[in-house]
Amino acid sequence: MNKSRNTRSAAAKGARKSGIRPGRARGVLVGFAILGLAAVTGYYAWQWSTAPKPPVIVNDGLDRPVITQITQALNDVRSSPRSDKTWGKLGLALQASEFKTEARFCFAQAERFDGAEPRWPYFQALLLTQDHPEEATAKFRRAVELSRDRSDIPRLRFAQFLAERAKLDEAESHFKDLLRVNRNHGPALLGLAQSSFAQGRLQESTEYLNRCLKDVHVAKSAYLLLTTVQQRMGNARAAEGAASIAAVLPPDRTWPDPYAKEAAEFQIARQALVDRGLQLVKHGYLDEALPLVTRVLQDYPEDPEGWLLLGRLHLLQKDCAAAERAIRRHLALRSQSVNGYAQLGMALLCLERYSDAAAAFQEAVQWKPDFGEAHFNRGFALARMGNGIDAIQSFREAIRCSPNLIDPYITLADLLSQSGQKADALFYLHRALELNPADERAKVLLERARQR
Amino acid sequence: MLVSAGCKKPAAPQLVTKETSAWFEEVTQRSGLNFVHSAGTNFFMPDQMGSGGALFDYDNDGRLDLYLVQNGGPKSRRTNQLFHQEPEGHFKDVSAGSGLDVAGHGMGVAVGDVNNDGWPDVLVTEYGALRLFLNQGNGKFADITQSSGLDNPRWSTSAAFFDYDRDGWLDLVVANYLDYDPTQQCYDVKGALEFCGPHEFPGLATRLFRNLGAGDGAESASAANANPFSVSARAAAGTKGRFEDVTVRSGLARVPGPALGVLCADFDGDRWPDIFLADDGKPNRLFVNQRNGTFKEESALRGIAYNAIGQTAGNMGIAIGDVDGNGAFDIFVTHLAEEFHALWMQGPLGVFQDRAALAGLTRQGWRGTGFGTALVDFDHDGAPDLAFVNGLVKRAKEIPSEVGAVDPFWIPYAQRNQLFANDGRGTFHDISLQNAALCGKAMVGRGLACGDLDNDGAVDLLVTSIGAPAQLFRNVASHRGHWLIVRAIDSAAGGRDAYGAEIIVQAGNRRWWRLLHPAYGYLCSNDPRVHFGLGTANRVDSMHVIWPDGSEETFPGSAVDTMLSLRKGAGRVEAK
Repeated sequence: MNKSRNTRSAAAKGARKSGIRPGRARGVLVGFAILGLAAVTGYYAWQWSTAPKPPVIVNDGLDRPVITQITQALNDVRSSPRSDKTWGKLGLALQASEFKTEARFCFAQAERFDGAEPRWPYFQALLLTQDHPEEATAKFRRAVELSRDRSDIPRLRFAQFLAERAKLDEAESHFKDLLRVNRNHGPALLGLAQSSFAQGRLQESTEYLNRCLKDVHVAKSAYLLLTTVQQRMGNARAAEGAASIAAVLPPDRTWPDPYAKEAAEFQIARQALVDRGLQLVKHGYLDEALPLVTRVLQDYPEDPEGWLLLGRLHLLQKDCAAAERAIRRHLALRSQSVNGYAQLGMALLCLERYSDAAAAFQEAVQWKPDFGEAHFNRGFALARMGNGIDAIQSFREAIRCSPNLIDPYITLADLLSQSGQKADALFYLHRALELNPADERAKVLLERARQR
Repeated sequence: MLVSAGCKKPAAPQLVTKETSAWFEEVTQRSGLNFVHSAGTNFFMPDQMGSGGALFDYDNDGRLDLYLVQNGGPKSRRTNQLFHQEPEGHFKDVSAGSGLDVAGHGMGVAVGDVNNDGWPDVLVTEYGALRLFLNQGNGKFADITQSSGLDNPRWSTSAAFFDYDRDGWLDLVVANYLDYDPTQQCYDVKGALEFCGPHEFPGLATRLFRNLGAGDGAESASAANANPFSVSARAAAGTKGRFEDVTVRSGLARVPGPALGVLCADFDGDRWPDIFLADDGKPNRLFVNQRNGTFKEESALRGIAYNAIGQTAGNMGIAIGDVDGNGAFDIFVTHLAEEFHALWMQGPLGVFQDRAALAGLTRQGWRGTGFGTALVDFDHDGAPDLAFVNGLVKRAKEIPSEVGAVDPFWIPYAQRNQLFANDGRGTFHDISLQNAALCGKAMVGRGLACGDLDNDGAVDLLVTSIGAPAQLFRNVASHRGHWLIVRAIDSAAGGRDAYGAEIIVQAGNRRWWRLLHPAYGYLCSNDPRVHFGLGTANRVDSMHVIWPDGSEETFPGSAVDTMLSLRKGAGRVEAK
């Protein structure tokens, strides 16, 4: 209280000294305050009015959930036009629908509003690599500078980008930086191995490879490169050994990439979800596939591919009745579906309804006469029904269409052998062993046929 | 793609003055070639992968003729067409009555004399079939598919005749592509129908058919342990042009893949031909001849399965040539626009490394999705140049500014072609902009066939595009060096071209290596005559031939700027 009274007194004294009455001085002060406030408000209003406008998106043909996603993201940007997060989210949504130019614009705005976030220059770099490599390089550099130890991904992808373009010294420098943080960084070791190999430093390449052969993210690639390196070094046996190992290894697992994961979450178009689901099913990740397939059918209940995928999933989980129901739903939505009839046949085989299964496979080969597997499966169903003659015909057709499938040879040989056609049976068993000399079934049948 | 230092490059040849003028002019109209490719427009995948054509002299009159393949389906009124080159250089449509005017989902062509009668025969690959036409020698061809034993109810793409067992009879390898489901529908991210990609379907076994030669049916059936129910065993005895399917016995069936391109050459230096397959989106395959009727897949071992960073790519067309002049052939394969094409350079013998970056092929500012390709010395400076035709497999967002006469449906897939000049050391420079005729207008390019159409010593081009006219480009490169065109003939094989022969020409301190084989590129058959650009060499000192049976023969030198024939066993050069 005393302080304010002193302040007012001092102001009054000042006013008196300058010849201004105290009341007017207060008015001037208030006026300045109002002006100042107006200026600040005006500044922000001006800033607000010059905030970038989000791009105009033509959403014809887009799936409804995608339209909703993009619309929501656009609205978020409109309400928070100076937020890097809203711009980034919009960029990711547009990128997922291949609006690449518009996505780049959004990431550029996001970068403008948060220059310390490595994601924004990184996502721009990825969009620029194919057509604007120089600009991509600049964005990669920025992303690497910002990411430091937060994530290895920008540095890793930049190193790989440089290596593709033969800028090996710089690429190696980045790979080595990755190793300083994680000395067992598989992709970095592989990158260094590739770079060394390219420059003729074969021993060095081998040393890097030996360090990452057990890393599931790069093992197959590493063994494949080791094959070539050893061959080039004249170590034929070691090369063969590496090639044999590479041949049986599964595909390399994806290196953990939080940026890619974030971007993938925006891929909610029907086709993208189905493709992801198919990949998961193909690689046996059934637990991950189920929620994805469920989502597809929630968002797109009339999508035939979603039902087929669900059917395949149930088949793999050995729930054949559920598989049949899902696949029949698929066929109701798309009656001309080779895959649908083939999968239905598999479900029916599983349920031991052989006559129905044979009919389903017959439908499949009507649409696709060269469908070797369907011919084989039809034959199998017919054989189970006791119809050996038609089964034999189906197996022959399977072999004609797909000479690389071993099962038709063996099953046909077995049938022929049982029906006393020994010479023909032997012929097909020999063929089977030419395909796979280690096939035990063929060996057993051959022995049996010879003894008859 | 990674640079490889430490390799000794040969001394730069004495190159003729480099020109920046165009190398090709389009002569389609004035040549009389009138062929418009037809393909469906309902996103049936085979529609976007074909078709090719052939340059071959079907009537042995010394002038290359043309055969072009249609893809309108078996019920289409548009058939494949045969054009005869008349004496004045004009092309006349002689399809009607030729026997080659067939309709189907035509993909490619392979040409070879299957019965060693001196007349080249024609194989057409299709979605769902193969067709073999025997040249009757009178301008007509007979469809002998049924009796030939060639049965392939799959989607076949490129094919090549070659003598894998060195018995003097041309065998046949047929690249099969995908186990395609025609009822599968694919969409782009915006939900619009689009062509499916190769990853949706598994690859197929490449087929190998052994030519049974002149034996009768009974002899062949027992000798070959033929399936008593096979087509070949039912074939009429004593009929030539018969084949036996040895896909399984040869080992090829063990490793299926989505093959688009095929090339037969000796990859391991043992003088037995091997089979290289460009697999779309999967590792390439190299089946190495084990010299006992079987093959072993060794692409990874020999460094030609993956690119420099260990990735697979959309491998489509194949070109072969000695890019850096070190005497060992190199392999170029075209890829998708978002990838870099690969150039596998050979060294040491039988081992390859992708060095596209070293060769300057990753510097290009613009990339297309490449298909048909060739390594040919177009300007005769002594170093093979590179050409390829482009065309997308998925719609582009932006339409190119200049588009050729393409059916409107295909315009979003159109891209311009590309041409690269070799500087003599194996480095390539993009000269597409200086070649507007070949590279200016965007088309959906697929086949690129090479041959000296006007017998002036320079290699000309036939380009096939989807839903568009086939085009002829005449080589008009100026400041050219010297050249030589060689036929290598095996009299014991009916006087046919010795497919698989390797010809090495020596002039001064330089040597040039070439392979005699018309089957390279994509879906095409090329001029079987071997072309050499000799730079400033004004005389050939000698010609050395490694014949397909592994024997060698050296022929005396010759003048340059000429065409000649080398006949096996003759030891002397014949003027053409």
